[in-house]
Amino acid sequence: MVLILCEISDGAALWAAGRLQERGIAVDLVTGAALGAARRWEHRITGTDVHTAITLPDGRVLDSADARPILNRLSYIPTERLRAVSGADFGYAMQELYALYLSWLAGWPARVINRPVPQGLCGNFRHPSEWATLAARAGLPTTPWKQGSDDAPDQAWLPRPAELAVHVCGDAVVAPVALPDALTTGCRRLAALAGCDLLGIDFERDDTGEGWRLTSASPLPDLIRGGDALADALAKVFAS
Amino acid sequence: MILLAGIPSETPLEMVGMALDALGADYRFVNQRHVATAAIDWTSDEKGVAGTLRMGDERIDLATVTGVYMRLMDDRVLPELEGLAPDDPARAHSRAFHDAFFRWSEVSAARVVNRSEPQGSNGSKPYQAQLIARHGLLPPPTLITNDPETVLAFRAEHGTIIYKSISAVRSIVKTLDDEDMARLGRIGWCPVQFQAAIPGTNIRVHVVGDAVFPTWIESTHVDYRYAKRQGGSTELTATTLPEEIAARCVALTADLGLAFAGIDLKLTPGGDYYCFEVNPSPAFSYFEANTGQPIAAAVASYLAADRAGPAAPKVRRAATGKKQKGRI
Repeated sequence: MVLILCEISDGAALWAAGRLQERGIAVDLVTGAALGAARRWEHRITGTDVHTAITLPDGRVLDSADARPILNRLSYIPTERLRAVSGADFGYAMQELYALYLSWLAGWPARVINRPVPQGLCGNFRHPSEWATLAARAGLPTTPWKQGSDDAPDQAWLPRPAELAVHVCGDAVVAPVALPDALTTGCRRLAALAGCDLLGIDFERDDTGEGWRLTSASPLPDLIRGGDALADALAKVFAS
Repeated sequence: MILLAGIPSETPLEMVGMALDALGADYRFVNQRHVATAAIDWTSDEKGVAGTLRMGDERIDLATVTGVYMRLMDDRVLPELEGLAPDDPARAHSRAFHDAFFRWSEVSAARVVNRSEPQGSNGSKPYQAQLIARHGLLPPPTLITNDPETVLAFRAEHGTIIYKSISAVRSIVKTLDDEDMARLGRIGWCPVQFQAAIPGTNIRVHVVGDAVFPTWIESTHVDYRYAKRQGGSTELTATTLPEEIAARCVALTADLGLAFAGIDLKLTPGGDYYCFEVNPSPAFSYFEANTGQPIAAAVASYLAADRAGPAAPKVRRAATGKKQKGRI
């Protein structure tokens, strides 16, 4: 039984749930809203032992003792219980809950794709400059990153060209076209450097018009673009 | 070239500057209060990270920067920007400069004390506790819950318990007393972190590379940082650690990706070392001023070490041996 944590509007997660079930893998979908309205939380750390039990509004209990693998698509903290909190206390409560979710998912005893890090609940949402630098280390051709004190910082987060979407899932590199070996190896290396079991990598054509160069990457990719090949890779990861 | 980024009169930055003077190292302040005359442009591509930093009339090739000590304050509240509208060009320039400089520091090949990303673990105490436990240092038994009955059982199991924030916000430690018990039902709104109270003496360990500076702390209050404010006192003394514990502190710091950390330990009467947290941006001047431990010198030595050469020079494995005391 795979737990899928996601927002109810996350079409890619719902797609993954259906594709995993088609491949014989049972799925239990838990929405952010259900987590946000959880009736009871118990999270313990005793030495190296971590135990978590969360009782959801419908009575389901997510217990780490069951060690179910997780497809983690959470990217922000559900706020269902905090709507009555205002001002500075709201910000404080958000920080507290983020810290709790991070510890819960980091200490979950089964596979979590992706594990949370302090910079993101389902993996590190890196600045484009970091992706460019990591990609260079991974040996991937990359669109150069340029930044200066005349550039508005918010511009960095605007969507970037994505002519080719590649997914790394476990050991598999899934692409809609045949990739050169160097690109396949580079994608796998980038996912490892980023600490992600699941990573979406976007490319655009390079100046020659024949090769590819990275434009961005995400630990929360649109899984639907990966198609059946990605569904197979996900099923293989969770079946192992 | 070493860059000290922040406000030069801030004590830790000033102390590291003086220590670099003593080493004869080449360094510059990236003075936030002079942001109006600062500029930066840099690139990252398959050849690496390169660019130029301008401060006043001086231009610095970023490829020559081998060390950076980051003590940047929130640029939005710089005195020079006070009263300016959100869209004022001076404010926009300041924000753009700080973001570009910060982003460069995150990917630069220079030694950076400390980069932002590895500092993140301090934002979740239980998450960091898991990392601490993997290095053979004991975190206190911890419970986070929104269920009062579970807290009562935890208290019955451990006797005295404390509570504190889960995140790094409002991080003040308090003993759960009768007054708190009367309002325990309010935790239903948001889970709260409780820990077994660990008896013993606090030890703050500053780690710089593989240099270790432990400070023995005797305080009248549970949270020694706030003892004076609450009418009590705290006494600091340079001390030593068993080699094994010192080595675990060094390994923990390195594994977190930090070059400099302040680790909070407690030594129990039974001889166990518990670890409460790792502070990735320690205001060490408080400890150096009261014990004489040469922490600023260690940071300076670390920054001055050739990034392509050996790691930071070993300053010392444990104490200064001075046993210098200071009541604060």
